Amino acid sequence: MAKSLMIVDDSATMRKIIMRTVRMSGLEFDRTEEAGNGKEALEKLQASPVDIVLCDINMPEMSGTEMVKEARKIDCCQATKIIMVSTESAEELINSVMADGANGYITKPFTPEKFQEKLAPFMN
Amino acid sequence: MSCPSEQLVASLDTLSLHAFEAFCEDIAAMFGNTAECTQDSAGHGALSDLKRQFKKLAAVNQVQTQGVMDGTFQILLDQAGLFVLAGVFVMLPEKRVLETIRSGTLKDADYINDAIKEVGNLLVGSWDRVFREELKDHKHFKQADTFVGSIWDDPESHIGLHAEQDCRYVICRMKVDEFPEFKCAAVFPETLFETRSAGKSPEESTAQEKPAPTAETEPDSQTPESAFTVAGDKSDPPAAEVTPSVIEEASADTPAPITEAPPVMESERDEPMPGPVSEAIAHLTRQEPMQAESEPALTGAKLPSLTAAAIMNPAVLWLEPEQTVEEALSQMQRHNIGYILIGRDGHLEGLVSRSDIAAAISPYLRPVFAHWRRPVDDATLKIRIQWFMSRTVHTISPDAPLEKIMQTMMQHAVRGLPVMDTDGQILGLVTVYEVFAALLNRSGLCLTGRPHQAPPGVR
Repeated sequence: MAKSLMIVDDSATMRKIIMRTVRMSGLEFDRTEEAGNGKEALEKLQASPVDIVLCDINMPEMSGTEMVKEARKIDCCQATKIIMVSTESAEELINSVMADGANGYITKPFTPEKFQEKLAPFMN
Repeated sequence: MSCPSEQLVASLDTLSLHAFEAFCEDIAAMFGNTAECTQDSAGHGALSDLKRQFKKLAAVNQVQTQGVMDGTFQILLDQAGLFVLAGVFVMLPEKRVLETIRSGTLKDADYINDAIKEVGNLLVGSWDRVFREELKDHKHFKQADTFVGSIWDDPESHIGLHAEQDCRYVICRMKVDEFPEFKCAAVFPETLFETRSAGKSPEESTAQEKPAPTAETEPDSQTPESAFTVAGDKSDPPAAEVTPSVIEEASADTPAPITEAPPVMESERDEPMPGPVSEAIAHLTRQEPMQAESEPALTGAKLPSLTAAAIMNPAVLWLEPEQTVEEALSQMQRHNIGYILIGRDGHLEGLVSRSDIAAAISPYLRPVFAHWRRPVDDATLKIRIQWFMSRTVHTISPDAPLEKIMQTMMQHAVRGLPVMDTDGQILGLVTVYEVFAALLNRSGLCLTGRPHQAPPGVR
């Protein structure tokens, strides 16, 4: 069954790079959404939930870590898998955001293989 | 009096090189490019002593650091570096990247500002990872800000350091794919090390002494140095200086924005070598005197009434520079045309052809993408036209005779000429197909229909 994907990053360039890399990974999504920060992502998720969210951490208005916390309070987002994508590689940050409800963490530089490895478990 | 942590300072050269090398590996992993770097030089002195290396546009990433260093330091990319790396991120056509390396303006950089910031984000991430692995007590690097422009008119305002600020620096040379080598540097203000009192552990120092923010810190009056004290200065060999010197000569320190530079009329245009069509025109032009009696239709003298205005296609299609490859491709396919004029409000800024479109999608011909290559790719289709359009556009006046049209096409190896009147208004477009049609009709051969592929203009 085809899945839906949302990419959350304040950089339009990075959203396109992520989208391109996801496609290179061979994973297929029947619907893809984009959002420029955590707040916009939550609004879109409440209007139309997706299966998987790839989310940056450092963003204006609402960061990725805040978004994870808020998403876990919303009924329609309980089943959404949220994977953080960031250059931040501090172990304490990764542990913290995973404890807040993230389902995975991908550090940059990312590759198609890395997306395949991290997202494939959520595709079935 | 405070003194630098000798151990930290001694390791900065190696750490910085490792961090730049890690960035190269990250670029290679994410984008499939080849990237490598070597140390150029290292030392300390006034910030202004870096002016020679970074005299034109530069991208300066201000990095907040916590842990063994507390404060802000800077990672610089020179003009070639910022355009090459941002170009890699958004997969700009190689031709466009090379143009901006030579003569890119602040406005060119502004168009890809988002990509430049993302380059900085990845750069800081690479640095953070290396310092975390190799430097005890390092806590965190964070990209605080990215300045893009010329540093030197007001460095304190632009990057938080004044021109005579005492700094330690590490300069590296980086090369990505076959693009020209460029310079990158890390600049550490001496104030970063002042809290490291001798005999104190980093934890003690961090807890007891917090330096003022770098931008607000007065220069260290005790250690001013008028020139860099270079450790292991590896001056550029003559061959390596060729490209940078070309760059410096080709663009001014404060180049004019693109919009202020009108398209160059009737001058050299960067076009591929003439193909069969151009050769056919050349043949026709060369044969004129010989065929004057037997083929009157091919002589300029026998075609006085055939001017550009008479044969041009008045229905031309316009797009704006900010529109995308996808829109240009769509319009070309929908109207079955080979050229689109680029500009706004009738002001011609460039011309895009089918071959320009081919250049835009050429990155996907790289072997590294063979595994995942697709007929079309969203990322490529979203590239703005301005990045691959031809900015030097040759035009022709409406009263130019057919002979002049053919000569102009031959001289500049172009296949399409916008027809522009004395007021700068574009009246239409003449391509080789209009020329052929005019010649065939004049010689008594009836031309019906239009070629199926790549005809000009919109009917």
